[in-house]
Amino acid sequence: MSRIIPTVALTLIGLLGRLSAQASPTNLSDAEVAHVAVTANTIDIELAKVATARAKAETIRKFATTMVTDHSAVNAQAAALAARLGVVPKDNAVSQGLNKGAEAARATIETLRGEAFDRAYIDREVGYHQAVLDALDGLLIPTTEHPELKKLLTDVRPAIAAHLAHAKSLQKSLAGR
Amino acid sequence: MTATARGWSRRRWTIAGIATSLLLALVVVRRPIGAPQVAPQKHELAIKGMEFLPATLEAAVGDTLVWTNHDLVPHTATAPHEQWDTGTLEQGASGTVVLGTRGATTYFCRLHPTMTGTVVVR
Repeated sequence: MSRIIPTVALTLIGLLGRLSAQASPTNLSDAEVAHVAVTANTIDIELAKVATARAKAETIRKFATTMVTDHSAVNAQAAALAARLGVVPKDNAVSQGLNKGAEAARATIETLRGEAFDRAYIDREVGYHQAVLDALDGLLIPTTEHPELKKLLTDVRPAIAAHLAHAKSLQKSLAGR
Repeated sequence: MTATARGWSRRRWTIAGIATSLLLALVVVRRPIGAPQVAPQKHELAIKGMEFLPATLEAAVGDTLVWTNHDLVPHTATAPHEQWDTGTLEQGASGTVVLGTRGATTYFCRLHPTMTGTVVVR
């Protein structure tokens, strides 16, 4: 069962990778980029809420709590900026792809319990944060035209990289058990 | 008084003068045992881009460290066994710690444990 989760993560990475590779920097409008950013944060918040209640290891529950806090803070900033700039986030193929992948991942992870849940959740977080980081570098930051929105995405990047490093460290500690 | 005697007398006064000056200088320079060498200082640190800046800071016992969080996400600055902790700092907030013991400490953010900084207390 645990082999299914890396497959889901790889599918997500593949989706974002393909979108990054195919999309030229002019393919997404700022309104669409804002929607992708909010969607990516919301997906991670929703799964983290499940993990805060269900994870066995305290380290995993703490990580999940941080994911809720951090991605909520980023979404609040994104919403405030969009409102100030008069940008209405617009649904698009990238957001829809992210949501579809997230539903599949969540459906699988939610069936698990105990250490199997912890491993599946953290495997997914490693894959997801790597995919989001790749999407920021290859699609979202280059695509964005408005300097303030571009700055927000650039400012968020180190947090995503730190989440990825944290998730990898937890993944390693779980593998040693 | 002969010229030789006057010369000796002048030299004695000169030596006595120098000795007195040295004694006075010692009294003025010497501080009470245990008193700090300099007044405690305040050091400003930044948390930016998921890093503590500067990454390494030298300070003295009694100095105050002030971290200000410039990131979108909250942070803490926490000693390894939580001997000191700024508490959670939201964006724009500052937290203060007064250094109590000598030695080097690698501190971290409780929320993002891969973030670390070092304080060397003299």
